[in-house]
Amino acid sequence: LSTQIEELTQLVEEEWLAEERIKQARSKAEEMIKKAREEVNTIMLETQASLSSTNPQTDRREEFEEAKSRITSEHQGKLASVKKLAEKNLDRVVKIIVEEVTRVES
Amino acid sequence: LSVLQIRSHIEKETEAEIQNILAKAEAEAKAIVEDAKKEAARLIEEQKQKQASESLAKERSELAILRMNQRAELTRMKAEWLDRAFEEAKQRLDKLAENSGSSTYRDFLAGLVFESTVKMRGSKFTIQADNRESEILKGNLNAISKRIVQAKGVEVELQIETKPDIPPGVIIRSPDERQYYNNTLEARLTSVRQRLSGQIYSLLFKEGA
Repeated sequence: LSTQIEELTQLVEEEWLAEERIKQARSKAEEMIKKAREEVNTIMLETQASLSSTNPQTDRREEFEEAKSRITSEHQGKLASVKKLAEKNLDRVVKIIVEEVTRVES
Repeated sequence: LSVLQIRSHIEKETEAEIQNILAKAEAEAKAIVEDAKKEAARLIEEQKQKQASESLAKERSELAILRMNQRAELTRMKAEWLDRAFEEAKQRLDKLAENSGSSTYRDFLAGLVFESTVKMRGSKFTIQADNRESEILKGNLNAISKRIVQAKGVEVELQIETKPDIPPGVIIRSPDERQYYNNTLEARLTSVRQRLSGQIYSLLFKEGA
């Protein structure tokens, strides 16, 4: 009988140890999930920081500056050409105005 | 079952349970991190797209404003040239008026009176002009009258009134002041500008003119 009691006691102890090991595994699993959530927090914080810091699009800006510069240059060319035409035609136009003003019906 | 077998079974079951718990946790943790990484990548991409779109809209708007300002500048420049053309014409007309003693100007003054009176009703007219031009007209009044009579077919009575503040040219009034014809160079220039601005503008900027 004492042998049987001893064996049963060992079995109970064995069950208890098993429960303990499973508890530890569950705790370890919770820890793994917790760490994963911490990592998620870090990722999201870094992402937020990255989002809030302005990200100038250098390529686009350069392209835009080029377009602006080209348009400005074209415009300067147009102004110069208009000025040249006006300078060339001014005397003729002034003569026409004077002729019109001094042309009286007879 | 022997005690030994039971212990071995407990051992196996426990180990399997532990491995299962850990494997599930590992998979869940991995999935949580992967999802977060995907979400972070999605947010960054979304932000990039948004920035690109905003940047493009801003640039387009800036270029549109630039073009609009350039058009305004060009229009302003052309308007300044048009002003300049009329200003120079005014200067030439002033010089012409300064040389009022010339036969050309004398004929022109007579033409101004003729043109005005022919367009007006009636036969009595007061010609207003400055001192110098009044004198010129006085010396030429008979000839002017004859021309008007020929054109209107009735006798006319012309009276000259000297008004020192009148610009070059003449102003003709009927005696009852109901008719008024401003034929000064200034008024004629304004009229030409109103009538011919578009044409002058085109000629001024015409290529190969």
